[in-house]
Amino acid sequence: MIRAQLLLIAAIASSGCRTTMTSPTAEADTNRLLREFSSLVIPGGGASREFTLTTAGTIAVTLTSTTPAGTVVGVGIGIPRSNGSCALSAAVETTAGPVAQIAIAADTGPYCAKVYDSGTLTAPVPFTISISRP
Amino acid sequence: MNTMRCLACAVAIAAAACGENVATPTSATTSEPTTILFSGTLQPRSSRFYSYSLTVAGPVTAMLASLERNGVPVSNVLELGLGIPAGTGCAVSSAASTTTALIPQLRQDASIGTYCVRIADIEGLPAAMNFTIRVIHP
Repeated sequence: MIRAQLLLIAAIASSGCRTTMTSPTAEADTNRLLREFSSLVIPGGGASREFTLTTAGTIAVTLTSTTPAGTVVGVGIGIPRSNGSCALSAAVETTAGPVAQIAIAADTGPYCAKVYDSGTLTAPVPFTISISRP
Repeated sequence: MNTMRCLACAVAIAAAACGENVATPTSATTSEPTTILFSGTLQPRSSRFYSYSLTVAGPVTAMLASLERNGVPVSNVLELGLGIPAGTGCAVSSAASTTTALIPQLRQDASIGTYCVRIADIEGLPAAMNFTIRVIHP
């Protein structure tokens, strides 16, 4: 009888604490984040992507592909304006490649990467960029 | 009777063991900083300024984040300044000659009051440029 009572006590006590018995979640990954972004840049236009740095560090953008290959476009990094456009701080005119074409140190906050027509496009160009950040 | 005692004991143990779960969370004592984006067009040999108010004392940072001509970033040097409104202008107390960056070029501790950030073309831009300044304050 005493054994049964002890088991009952243990069962009630443990059932009331189910939420505290869960395993702790893993700590946030502190490795650099890498995100791909694919879109289309039209003649005279641009396409941008926003992201937020919660830790200061270096933002690096790689234009990994364009169609057709070898197309020269502008790739830049800046901050998003309130109207949604991307105000560029730095940019390069480049073709696609495996190594980051532009990198810049940044404080915490919202930023954007932009691909734009540097004046040579005659037709829409699909592209992919990867954004590496802390 | 024993069963009733057992149940009461179990409930007491459960409540004691779970005390941490029902604790009232403490309220945050710090508020998020305010971010201001100041965008406009700067004519050659001119200046622009923007006023803002601090209701809490603390550090203020200013960043000339973007300077563009026809949507393309340029590397011209401008003077970025922090100060207080004076008459129809901004009396700058701290300034830096700088190109664009995504790290604040100016930092200043400020008390409660009204302040301004100013951008000025000292060296002579070749044409009008669009700028964006980011100010973060308490």
